[in-house]
Amino acid sequence: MVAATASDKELIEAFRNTESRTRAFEAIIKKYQQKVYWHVRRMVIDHDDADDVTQNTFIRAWENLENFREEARLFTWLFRVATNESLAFLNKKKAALHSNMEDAENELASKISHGPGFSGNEIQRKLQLAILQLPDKQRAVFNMKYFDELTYEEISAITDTSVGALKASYHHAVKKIEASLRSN
Amino acid sequence: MKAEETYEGPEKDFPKGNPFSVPTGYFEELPESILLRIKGADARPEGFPGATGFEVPDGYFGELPGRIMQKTKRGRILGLNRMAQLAAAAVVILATSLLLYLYQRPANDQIAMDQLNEEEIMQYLDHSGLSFELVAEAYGKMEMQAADSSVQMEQYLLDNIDEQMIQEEL
Repeated sequence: MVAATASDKELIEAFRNTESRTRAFEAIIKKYQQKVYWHVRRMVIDHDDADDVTQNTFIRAWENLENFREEARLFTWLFRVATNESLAFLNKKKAALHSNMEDAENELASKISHGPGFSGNEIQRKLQLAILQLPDKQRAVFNMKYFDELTYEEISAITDTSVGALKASYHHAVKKIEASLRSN
Repeated sequence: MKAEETYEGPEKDFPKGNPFSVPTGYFEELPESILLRIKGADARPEGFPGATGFEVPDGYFGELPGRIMQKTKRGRILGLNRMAQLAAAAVVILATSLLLYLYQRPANDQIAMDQLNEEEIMQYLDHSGLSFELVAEAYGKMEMQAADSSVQMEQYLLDNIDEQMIQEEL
């Protein structure tokens, strides 16, 4: 029996065993689904979209976990897949809508302002709208640092970006968000 | 360094609660949904016609390989022309660069630090693994008081980094 409380090493070993593969993967989903989902949700905003991207992230993981290098952390690897899937989804959505970046932002903003899945207060709504004004990659960095409380080293492993550039990106994101909150 | 760890920017006042909600029981059902999709994908017979509900014109797959091959051949011819164009462009760029280098080369090869822009310094920082402090010192843009902390130094550098460069780096 493979439980979601098992260590990553145990889960990966169980996944590599054909007999326990499905159960191990189910345990991996149970262990990381919330972290992955919320990371994706903050990026794509809409629940149905987040559900699709989260499922795609785990299906991509199922297809590639065999080649997972154990020097990386499973969580970091899953976040990397989830970030890439989210960014790809947003790009596809913009292309499908034949819209420019502003139109896509407006659509996401309207989901925060009027969507059924947003239960935050006015300050939280303003913060989310301010975050939406950031470019997608910078938004991902801000969310990972601020909400997921990942270290710069972890974000660096996820995004393959230097710690210096991440620090600068986060710093500028905070300044932009602060300016946006002050102006509204 | 403790001081760096305890630094708090304006974001300390941002709300941190999660304002999004999910349907009741969503996370209980998610693993099953994903596994069903995985099992479905594994169980799908290879090339099963009609499995997706889409149809193709009669004889489509018979003609397809030939049409793809025609396109690849055309692609190859275009590819060669493209390579020739690129080679010609490369020669022109090399020649121009050489001329510019010879005419604009300073009397000595040492480039003054104040001629470097922030982007070059950041690139150097990334490749060399040097600290912000060392680069700032070399850059000479800061007039640090002896009592100033590395936090302030880093803050100054972060404030002065070009936004465009950050976006390109991500």
